[in-house]
Amino acid sequence: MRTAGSLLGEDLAEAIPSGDEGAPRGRGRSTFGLSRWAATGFLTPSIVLIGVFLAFPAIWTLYLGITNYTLFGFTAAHPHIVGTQNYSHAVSNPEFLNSLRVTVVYVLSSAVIGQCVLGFALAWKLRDWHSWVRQALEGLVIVAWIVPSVVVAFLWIAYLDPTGTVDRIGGVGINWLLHYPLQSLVVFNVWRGTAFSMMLFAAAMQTVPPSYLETARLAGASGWAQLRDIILPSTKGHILTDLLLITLWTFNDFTPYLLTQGGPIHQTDVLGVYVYQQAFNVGAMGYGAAISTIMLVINLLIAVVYLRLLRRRT
Amino acid sequence: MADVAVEALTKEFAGGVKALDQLDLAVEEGEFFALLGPSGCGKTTLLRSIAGLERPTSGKVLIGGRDVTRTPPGGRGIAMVFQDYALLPHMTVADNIAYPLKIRHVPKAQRLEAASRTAASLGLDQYLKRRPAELSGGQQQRVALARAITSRAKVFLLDEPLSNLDAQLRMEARIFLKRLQQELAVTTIYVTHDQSEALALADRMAVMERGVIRQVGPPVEVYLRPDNLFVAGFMGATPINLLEAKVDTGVLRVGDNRIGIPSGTQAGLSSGRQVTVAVRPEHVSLSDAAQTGGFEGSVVLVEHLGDDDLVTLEGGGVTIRAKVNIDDAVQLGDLRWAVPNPERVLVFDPSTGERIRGQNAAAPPRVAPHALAKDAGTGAIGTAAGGAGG
Repeated sequence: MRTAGSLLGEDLAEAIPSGDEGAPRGRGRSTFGLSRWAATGFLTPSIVLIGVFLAFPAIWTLYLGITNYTLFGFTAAHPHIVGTQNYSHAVSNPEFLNSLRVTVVYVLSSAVIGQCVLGFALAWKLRDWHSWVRQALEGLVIVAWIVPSVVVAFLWIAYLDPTGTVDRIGGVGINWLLHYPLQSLVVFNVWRGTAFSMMLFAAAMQTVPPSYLETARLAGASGWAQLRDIILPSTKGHILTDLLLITLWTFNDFTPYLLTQGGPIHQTDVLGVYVYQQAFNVGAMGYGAAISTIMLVINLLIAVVYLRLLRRRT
Repeated sequence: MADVAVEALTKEFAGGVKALDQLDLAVEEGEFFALLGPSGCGKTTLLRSIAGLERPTSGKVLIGGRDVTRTPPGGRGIAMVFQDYALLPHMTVADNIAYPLKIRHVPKAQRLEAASRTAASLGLDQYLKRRPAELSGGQQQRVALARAITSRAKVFLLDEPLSNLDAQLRMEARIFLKRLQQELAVTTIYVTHDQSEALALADRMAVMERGVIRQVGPPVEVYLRPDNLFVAGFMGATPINLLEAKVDTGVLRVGDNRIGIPSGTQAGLSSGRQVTVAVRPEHVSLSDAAQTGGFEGSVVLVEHLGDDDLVTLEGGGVTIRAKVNIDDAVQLGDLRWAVPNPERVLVFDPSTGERIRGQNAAAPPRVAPHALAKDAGTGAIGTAAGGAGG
């Protein structure tokens, strides 16, 4: 920065933020042509919005989690701090542990195995297809992704109903959401979310120079060997990023509520649904807040693991 | 080692673009063969069709006498070196070199042993543990060659392998490549748009234009005796002189000047015929005094090319360029005579673009290219000239 100063002259050099000296100091100094007050003025609305709608609720949730606040009854009017009671209750509560198990199954089968593996397979296979077939299929898959969740949920209810589309085609008369609730949700979520992974992987595969694959083909490599030796190592970063995103999205997913409301008998009680039921149906706001906090911690752990893996790669 | 042949090869891309049009070519066993042409002429498509990376619309590809038109690339016994070298960035140099053996399920210890042996012969032994990104362009290129060598391919296909190197390195790599090919005696097909590479490296070369081969022959033959105006214009570091001329009883009238009819072409030149006379600037000398068969003109342009000057003369309705030694100190406005070397003057039919030959040249001498390569070192051109001139 000092050399830049001598090149550009005093005024310009001062306008360039420098790492070692921090932001320009003193009154009346300008930052990229803005006065300090103007800059503050521009930033204030977004800081206020973030504060009101993100920071405050988060802190409030942390606080609620250590109280016995409820929506109704005596503790609604007179809540008091109960320390870690909500947390100790959660980890010993079979309903919470069931919900955690359901969520893990839901995430692993619909996101990690379903969306990621299927999306990768589609992206890999579609490369060889004619461009119009590929575009048509990509279009279809993307439609599933851009239709609002509520609409999709009702489509799937109509689709899986005992008198719905599946029944009309197959004629087996099964109430899928009643007899295979979690499996139905997994299929639903794979259908809905695969497009994202597929697009991400298709874009990643485009960045692999064709000469890499051609070299492998000239050496006699099979499709599997090309995948193992070239595509997977070249797209590792994309795969990890995809896994990070879809794991977090699916972990926090609330759409199952639209299809099954967590039932029957808590079989589809993913954590998002469980928190909602506890906080707003049961009215145990303090307990719900504590579960939310646990979810937040699990999210952070997942993110840390993936980011570690990503960093190790580079 | 194997010979390579393509028969009536046609490749039509979607949209009706014909990259190759009924193309025939025979590359002999052990030969270093260059495919030269401007971009878009189909040379890379031809190479990729031989490799099996492009599926021809019609025609045949034969390697070692075997029809491999429908054989996948891996079954053709070929190795290819790409312009970008295509080294796998996540593998070490050793793993890259050993990759073809990995695909053939050669045990790890054995293939790494083979890789380090090849690497040692190419001066890469101290880089085996490195990643390709940690190597210079020249080293990366050698790793790509080493990988081709370990694959024990019978044919090497090189797609502009030197074009990513800077000028200095390119010269070194060229010498290296030539010596390596002589040592291995492996049939090599080399695609380039740089004629100096083709001239320096090849035993024989083909010049391509819009999907067809315009001439095949030893480099010196192609350079000195181009079959047509396209090849004449494409070859040469400086543009060839093309002069409109008319045949007149025993002489060619070029503007106000007359030059003798080149020996061997008289038979094809009846009086009154319009022809195009072509002579390279390097085959035109300048004289201070009047010369028979010379063009009088004043110097209108002097371009410095390093060792030589390219001098443009205008006079008598003719513009002609000559390449002269810088010591000649030609000045703008000087009056000189440009004298083409009669041995090197070529006559073309302007309507077909084909060279007009006499009976002598009707059947161009067939040179055994492999035999040439054996005794030619880097001086292949000189030897080829001697062989082809007869």
